[in-house]
Amino acid sequence: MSELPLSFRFAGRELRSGVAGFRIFLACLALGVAAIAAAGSTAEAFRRGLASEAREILGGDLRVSVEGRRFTAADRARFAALGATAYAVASMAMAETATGERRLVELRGVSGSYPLAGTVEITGAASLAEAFRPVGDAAGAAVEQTLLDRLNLKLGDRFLVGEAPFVARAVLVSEPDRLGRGFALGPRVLTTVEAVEKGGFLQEGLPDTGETVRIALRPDLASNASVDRLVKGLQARGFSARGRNDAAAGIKRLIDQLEYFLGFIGLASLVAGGLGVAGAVSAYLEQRKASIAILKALGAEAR
Amino acid sequence: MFDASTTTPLSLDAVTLTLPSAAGPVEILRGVSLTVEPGERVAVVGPSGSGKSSLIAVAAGLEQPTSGAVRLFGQDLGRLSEDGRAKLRRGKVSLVFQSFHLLPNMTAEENVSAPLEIAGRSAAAKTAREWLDRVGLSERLRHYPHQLSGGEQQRVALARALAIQPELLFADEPTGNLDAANASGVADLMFELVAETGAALVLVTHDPALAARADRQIVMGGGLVVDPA
Repeated sequence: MSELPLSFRFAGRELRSGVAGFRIFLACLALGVAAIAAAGSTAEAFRRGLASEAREILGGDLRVSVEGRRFTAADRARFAALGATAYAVASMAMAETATGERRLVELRGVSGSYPLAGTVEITGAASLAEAFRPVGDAAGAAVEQTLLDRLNLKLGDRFLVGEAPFVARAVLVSEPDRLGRGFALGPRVLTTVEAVEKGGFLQEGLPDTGETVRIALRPDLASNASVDRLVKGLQARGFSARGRNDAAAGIKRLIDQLEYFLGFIGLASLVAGGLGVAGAVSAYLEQRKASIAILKALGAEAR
Repeated sequence: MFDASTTTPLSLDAVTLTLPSAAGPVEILRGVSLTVEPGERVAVVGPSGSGKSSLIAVAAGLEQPTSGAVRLFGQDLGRLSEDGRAKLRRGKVSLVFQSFHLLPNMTAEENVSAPLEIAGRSAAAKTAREWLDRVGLSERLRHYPHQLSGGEQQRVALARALAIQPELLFADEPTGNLDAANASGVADLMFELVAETGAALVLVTHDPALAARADRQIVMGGGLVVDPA
């Protein structure tokens, strides 16, 4: 210790009384720095995750929708020229069992090529095609477990959606594009486009009539710049279109807001830490006034 | 005219000290003149509030006078900064207080070695141990002030003051907080060690017996030297 400069030797002796007065200040600093670092790294991790899963979240390279109507034959031909297509229709409807149990569901019909990206997880059936196979006059459907539980159904049971009969042939666990579609008001019932059409849910003029197509672009059109250009072109034609570069805008906004929020908490903690610094140093110096005076009386200079 | 030589440890010339208070300015010292020669032992006596302790604070450069001149070893303290005054005290001037004023986070040995280290003296710890042995505290080297009795703390303070071999020692009521037995022991030790080191002594005390041991007594009253004896 004797080889240390005088000021360090004396500071070391003075610190024997501990750093109790600095605990809150140190905690504020640690919390602030940790919150800011966590906000940045967590948000970045989410963004990277979204970017790597963008195609699955969107269900393809492009998603194009119309509301209040179906796509025309010309639209379909234009989409087919861009690459592989998978169509989907959806409608909110009331599901009902023979015993009178009722539940609002999201009825979704998909074309045979669905999904273009990722996989649909189901249990109780080997494939979507098997799940969708009709039983008599009832269309096959994959339904969420919550619907089975709510309606006291088991796989193989019949139920009605509106007036259309369905049979639950598989349990729907997950769809790759669920995140990109936002939240649903009821359990999902996944079936074919034809089954939804047959149920009368897609008549023009009904408020939730609409159609979505997901497109896996041809290799020569699959660059990011090309995707952005196609999105703009489709939007100019009156379609609601989104590319894989902006697969989940809502989630991105949420992440941005989360980052701002955590960053703000971190800054607030640092400000509190700064006030803590002033308080702790002031209190510490107040406690040490007598010692400082004694050292000065012994001949110590300020530095 | 003030013409103290540079070897004169302490000279005060018409020193006044006025301090502000809620009730208005208070005149603590009202023109004190005093000279202390090398090796001289001067006792300052007088009633409480007469300005004895303020005299020591001003003389040691701990307090700036309102007017007048204070010279320590020929240097006008009024021309020095706080650091300059501290530097002038270093190694030459020591103080012993009624309330001991030991550094609470340092052991007895570190308290005694502190002024030696500040003055850049070599073998500070060894010297500190020798002086603590001189004051009978060789068994208390590692004890902190709160682990020592009042008499022991004052003996540590005395060792701290004298280990540096000062040329001038200020002692402000050094026995004021001690019982009779301890007071007598500390006083004996102080005069013995001052005689041994040849330091000049300015001793503030209420104790007539202690004051009588000095070479000269000055009596203060109302901020003035009323009897320069």
